[in-house]
Amino acid sequence: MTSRSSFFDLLKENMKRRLWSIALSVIVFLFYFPIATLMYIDFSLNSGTNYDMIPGIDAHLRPYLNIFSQFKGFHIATDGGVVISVIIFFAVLMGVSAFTYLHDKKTTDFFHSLPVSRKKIFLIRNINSVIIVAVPYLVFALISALIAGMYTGVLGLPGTGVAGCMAFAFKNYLAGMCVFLLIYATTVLAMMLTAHRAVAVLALMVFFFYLPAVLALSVSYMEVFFHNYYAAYEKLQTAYQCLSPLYWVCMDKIDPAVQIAGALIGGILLLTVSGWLYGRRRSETAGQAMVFSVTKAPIRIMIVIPASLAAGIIFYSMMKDSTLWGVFGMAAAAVLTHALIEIIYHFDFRKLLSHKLQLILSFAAAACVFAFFRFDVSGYDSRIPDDSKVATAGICTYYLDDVFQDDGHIVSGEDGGMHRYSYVYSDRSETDVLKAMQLGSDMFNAVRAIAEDGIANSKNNGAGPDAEQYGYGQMNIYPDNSGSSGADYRNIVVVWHLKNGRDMYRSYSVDVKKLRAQIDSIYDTKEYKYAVYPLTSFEEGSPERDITGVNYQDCMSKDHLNIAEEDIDRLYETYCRELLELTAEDRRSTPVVCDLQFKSRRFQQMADEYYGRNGYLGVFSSMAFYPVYESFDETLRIIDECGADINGKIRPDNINALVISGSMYDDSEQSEIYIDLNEAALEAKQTGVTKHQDIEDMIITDTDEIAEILDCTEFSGLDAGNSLYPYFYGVNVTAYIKDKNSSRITGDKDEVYANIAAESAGMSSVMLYFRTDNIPESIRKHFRITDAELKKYGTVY
Amino acid sequence: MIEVKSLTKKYDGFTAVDRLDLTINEAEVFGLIGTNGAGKSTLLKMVSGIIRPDEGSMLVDGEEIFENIAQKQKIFYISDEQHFFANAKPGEMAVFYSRVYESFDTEMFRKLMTAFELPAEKKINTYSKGMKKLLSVLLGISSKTKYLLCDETFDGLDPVMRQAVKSLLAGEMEDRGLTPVIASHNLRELEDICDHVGLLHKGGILLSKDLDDMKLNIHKIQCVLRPGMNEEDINDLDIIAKDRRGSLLTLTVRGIEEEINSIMQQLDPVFYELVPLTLEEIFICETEVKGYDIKKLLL
Repeated sequence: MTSRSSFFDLLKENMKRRLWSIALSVIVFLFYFPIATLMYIDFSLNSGTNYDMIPGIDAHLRPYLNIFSQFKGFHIATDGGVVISVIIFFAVLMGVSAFTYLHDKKTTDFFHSLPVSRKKIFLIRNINSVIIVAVPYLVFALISALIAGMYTGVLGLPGTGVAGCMAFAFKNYLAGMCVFLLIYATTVLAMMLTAHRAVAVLALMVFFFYLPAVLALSVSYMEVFFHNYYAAYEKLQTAYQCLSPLYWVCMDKIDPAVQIAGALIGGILLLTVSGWLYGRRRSETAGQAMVFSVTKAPIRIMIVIPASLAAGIIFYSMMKDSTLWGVFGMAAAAVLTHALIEIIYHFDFRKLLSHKLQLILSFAAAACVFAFFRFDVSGYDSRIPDDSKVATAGICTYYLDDVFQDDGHIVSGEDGGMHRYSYVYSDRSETDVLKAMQLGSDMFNAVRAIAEDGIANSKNNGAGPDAEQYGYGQMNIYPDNSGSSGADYRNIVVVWHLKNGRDMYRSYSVDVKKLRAQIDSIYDTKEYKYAVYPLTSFEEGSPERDITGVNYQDCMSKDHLNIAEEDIDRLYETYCRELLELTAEDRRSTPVVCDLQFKSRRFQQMADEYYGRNGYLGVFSSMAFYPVYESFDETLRIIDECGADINGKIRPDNINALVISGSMYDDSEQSEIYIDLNEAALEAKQTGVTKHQDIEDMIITDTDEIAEILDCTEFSGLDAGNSLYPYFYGVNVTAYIKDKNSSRITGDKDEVYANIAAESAGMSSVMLYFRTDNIPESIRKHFRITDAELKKYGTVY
Repeated sequence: MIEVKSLTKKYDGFTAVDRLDLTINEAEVFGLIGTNGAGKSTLLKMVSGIIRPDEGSMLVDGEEIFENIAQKQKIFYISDEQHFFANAKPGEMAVFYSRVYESFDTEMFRKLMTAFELPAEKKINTYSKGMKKLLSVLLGISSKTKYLLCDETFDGLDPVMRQAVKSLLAGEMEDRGLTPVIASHNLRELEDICDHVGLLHKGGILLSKDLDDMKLNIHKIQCVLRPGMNEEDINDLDIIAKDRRGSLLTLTVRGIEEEINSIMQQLDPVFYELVPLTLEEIFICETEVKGYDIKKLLL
């Protein structure tokens, strides 16, 4: 018998022992692919459901488009596709079943007594593990593709038809096998390091979750102890994905091609290491917890320290930042975790306090880490890099602007790897803005002033720690710590782009009133605007710059701007110029009158397809709008030339009535402890509107009065607004627009209310707000607006 | 030949085999005796290449055995709890072994199954403990390896089966020079099969001798002395042990047979005869020399 024939004979023999796994693999992939395909084909064709469509596809073909979407959904092996779960299941199952014999003395002795090299045993089991999954997966995936292809050919779209579907299925099959390889190899490594099935499963959990858990713990520590910590969310998500084989294959923060290549390389590496360990594994360890005793201490310490730290921070936070309780939590967790691991190692409860010295050292290490964060030993909160080390800087704050989008953050169904023929809307994050912002050295002092104020506030530990981060306008929600002092605390994220290539992020709570000059100076720079308003930095020749249409939005409507193609560039360049010239001070005195949406060719195509599929525009109707300020004369002139009547409907003669109502709540007393209050008083306090519930709404129907009010109010509900404009939100002005076919409503208040109620379904309305420093005296009197309320619900500059 | 030199194996600080020296010659039955925990299984596992020794050498026909596939073809190891594939029938195990052992004789296995009346069509997991042990021996013999290592294999066999297997082994030894190595804690089991015996205690070899050599020098005399004579009058014999039941005196003496006969004839007892010693009796004598009470070792 030759070595080669015996190798294949042994492959066959091993396969005979794994018939159950072959059967399971066949059954699962059979049902997952061809049977499911037949099911969704039948459902699509016969259920009568009204399916998606896209322009250019006849209505009767909609079910076939759904078949195509479903087909892709079942096959996609990246971006969290469903098949990944199936693959992971089989990878773990195969890894455990292939080497479970090593965890039993009897079977270990049996196989290792045979005249078969360990290398051959290892190779045979791995090959069979792959075959058991790879063959049914491939066969049934292709059958599914064949079936789906026969039905989708009529669509005539890229990727449809038999060839297209088979190619898609095969491509994702290869990707899926790379996913399998990585998870399988990780499982095999866990089996090699341990000698007991239950411990192997625990080891696998450690491989999957340990590093992400440690990262999450570090982030928690930073969030709790570093007042100025900023979590760059996108970077964190990417980090998570890189720290675990499971996360690597399941998350979608990394390019799919890199993800699959990484899975392949990682799988090969891990299998190589596992093979090496197998050669060094002692047979007599079968049935014990760990094979290599040299790994016991490091693993124990690596688990005890994070567990101790986790408990420490939990106790610290639960007990109102008590260091004592934090230490108690750490000590308790250290002892318990150490004991548990010792019990697992020895399978003997009496061994729970073995290696006391290591326990003490582990606790000491955890305590040092705790102290490092608790007392900010590294000076994280107070560190500001020296100018000589900084290349550029940036800030991001909702005090100035929301995060503006560009159409680069919409990805198509094909580009994004999503299985459906649809679009993914990806938020442009603060981190994106900060990365893009490149403030020069002339702005370093301003940025430094922000940082220094933030550091001082964090040291004071109470001067605005919970400043508004996401608010619109200048509502101070926390009057108790900012109202009395006159300060206005907001959150500003600062980034220092260092010369060594690193970025240093900090999040500060700063008094924007005190730092108004510095913040304004930053806003007024081109660098700030290029980053926050990506429209202003589209490169010539880029897809974003290929603008084919413009939409506008005013207080009443959104519509296409009837602009000639040759005028689009003029409008774009004029708008960008006026936007770049806009200052923060301008914004405080100038309202936004409308928004513009500059649509690239790509954007328009995606919007059309989305609309065709859904019948509505979804996010396309609200994203990438930019504000046009009242001071943008040239831009507004061009818009006017296009025939758009911006806010034309808000005219006194076109308004049925203005209803002015108060929305100020007396909630400052809600935080009090209610002691010795009688029931009526208690109830009165808890309603929150005790002060103003006796104030009636004002109804204005007289045209002149309406005109006076309109002169003092502005609309603030555009998609892209002006957060610096001092709107007063304590009083709402609802303007009921007259329908062109109806007459004015007249009568007393009750009659007007009744009419409005009756007609409201068919009556348009717009909500307006006063400017804080321009509230008519009559309004102030009627609603008894105090200076404190002006500050609370408006902005006093 | 299997040569063991200064072999040592430790498990987490516990020394299972301690600087062991041993030689197992070909074509003889080697009995490995020892109590539980003496190191028998560990030694056998090292011989069969399952475990790597910490120190010393383990040579099979002059070559190290660990991961030496060519040499491992010469060894068939039967564990005290032999593993069989789940739901397998004897034939399937035979097929498996035939893939692994180049010399496996499937026809011989089939004949042995018939001869020993083991049900070939039943699954092994329905067999009794003794049947499983027997099956593992038959598989081992059918593998036609040079060495057959049996770890407490005979313990589960009934006396008739035990005798049959012993005959089988004897036949194989004669036909092709099979070298069985049988580990047991029961001296009586190895009574009439071993040619060479090694006694293991606490990881070391207390003694290792040919049975015939041991029997050459130790004899048991049953005699009835003439009235007025007692055992104290017997001065010329090197008496190791004595036992009197009524008139019958049983003496265990060291010496060669001819000399003992000559001395006894001179004593002119009423009756005497030399009877065979059991393995246990031989061991008792031998170990007492080394200061051990064999009964304590082997009970």
